[in-house]
Amino acid sequence: MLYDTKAGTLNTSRRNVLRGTALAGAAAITGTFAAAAPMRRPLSTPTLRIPDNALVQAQAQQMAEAEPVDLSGYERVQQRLVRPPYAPDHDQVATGEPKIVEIELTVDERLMVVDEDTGASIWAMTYNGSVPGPLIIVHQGDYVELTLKSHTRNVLEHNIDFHASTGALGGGALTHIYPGEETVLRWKATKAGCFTYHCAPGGAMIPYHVCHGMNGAVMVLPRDGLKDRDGNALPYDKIAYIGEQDYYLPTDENGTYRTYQNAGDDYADSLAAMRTLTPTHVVFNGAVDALTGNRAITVEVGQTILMIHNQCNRDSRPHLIGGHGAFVWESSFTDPPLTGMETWFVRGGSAVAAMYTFEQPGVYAYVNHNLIEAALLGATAHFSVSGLWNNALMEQVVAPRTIET
Amino acid sequence: MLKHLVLSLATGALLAGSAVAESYEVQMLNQSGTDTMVFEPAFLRIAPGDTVKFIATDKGHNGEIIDGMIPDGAETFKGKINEEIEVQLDVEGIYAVKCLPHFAMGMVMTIAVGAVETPPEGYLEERLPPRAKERLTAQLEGL
Repeated sequence: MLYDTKAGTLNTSRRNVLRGTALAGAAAITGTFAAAAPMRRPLSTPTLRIPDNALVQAQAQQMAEAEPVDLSGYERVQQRLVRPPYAPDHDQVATGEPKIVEIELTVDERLMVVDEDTGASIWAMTYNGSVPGPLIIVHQGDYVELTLKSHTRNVLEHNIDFHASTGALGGGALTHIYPGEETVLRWKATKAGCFTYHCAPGGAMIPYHVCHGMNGAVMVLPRDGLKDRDGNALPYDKIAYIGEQDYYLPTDENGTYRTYQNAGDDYADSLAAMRTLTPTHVVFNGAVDALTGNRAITVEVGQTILMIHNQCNRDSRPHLIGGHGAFVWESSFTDPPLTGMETWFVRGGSAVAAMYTFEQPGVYAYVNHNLIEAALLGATAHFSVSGLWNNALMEQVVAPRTIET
Repeated sequence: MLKHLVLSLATGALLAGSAVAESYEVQMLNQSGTDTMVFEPAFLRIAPGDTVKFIATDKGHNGEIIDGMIPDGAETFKGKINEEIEVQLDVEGIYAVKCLPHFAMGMVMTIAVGAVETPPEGYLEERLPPRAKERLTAQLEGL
């Protein structure tokens, strides 16, 4: 609908026909399809379709004719956003009537180290300087009133698409800003749950920005807080906000990660790397080991943690090694939570909340339980839990020893 | 993979009355000297009916008219990313071209068709990314 599909279809079908002919020819000569595989040449650089803004202009006309809305009765509050893995101050159970919650996000393009060991780095595109962008928390029925700004020193165009919102490409169509500009968008949080938000400037720029860290989560709580399936309140002591980020970093012919002078300079190389669909890194909170060792999330035995996992681009399967997802809201907060989960599922392009009360002290690894991604690509975080060990839950009966024969 | 998009084919050349239409090439580059993301050359003066071809020397770019920054009555054009379009410009006046992904980075160029010496009233007063405006301003000095 948004795309010039006519030209694209022509292009694609022609390429497919050519490739099909080459394969068939090779197969005829050798008598096998397996032998035909080496005949395949790398795909030529694709021409990419670019969305037309005619639809957006049509929408502007509809908006100009729309009935004005009276929000004079709403109380305005400001929410101060904080860096991940922390959550902004908030009430779990809403007080009073729905409010207009004012927040501010500033786009910041900055060079960030992805892996200290290899020196892999990226000109990350961030909201407020972090990957993921900050967690936003409101209650169902509240309005989010966002001021989106872009630093003058930035070089790219940005916007924001809130999956929690309704209409205008999640606000994406109304929030395009250039460096040195700002815009204000207000939307009503009608659905309760955790939702991703991300930059979506159009076409290939969408995955390019998302895969450079430009995404985060909004949690829309039910007004009366989280509940189990029987309606009993489920309060939490702390939120751990984890943004899983897949990076596709270009390498040179020696396999060394390339470096770039400015944001945007890696555009063509990044598109080629993304086309492999094989991330070079899958990390929590922006970098390998951002939440491990002395940067682990600290907890005490008996504390209840709400783990919010955002993955804007790929499916993920969080698992807390040595613990569980006692209550997991994979869909919305309106559905009853799943209980006693060993591993839960985060559909690419969503955020999920999982609740757990820690029962034993020690270090827990929180991983994407594709363990290749966890151990080789970086998708591991640590919870460092203090408190007293409970032998009734687990006890080492015999320490490792040589088997006596 | 070369595709040709020729606008107002033939008619322009006939109306312009020139014996031979010239053909110009503009490279789309990630870097040129100390400047990043550029069309090279960034300013062209051509005769009505001449053609301009956008060469994808570096990948990830396109050439398209900046909304509204085209002479009255001229036909707009929009290449796809990595597409090497060739356009024929028939109507006298100033055409501003951008690369969509790198517009905010200032990847713009100016084509003056015919003897035009000054930009139309309010030409640079539309909403433009600061870097694009800066470079367009500099390009207009070539008039």
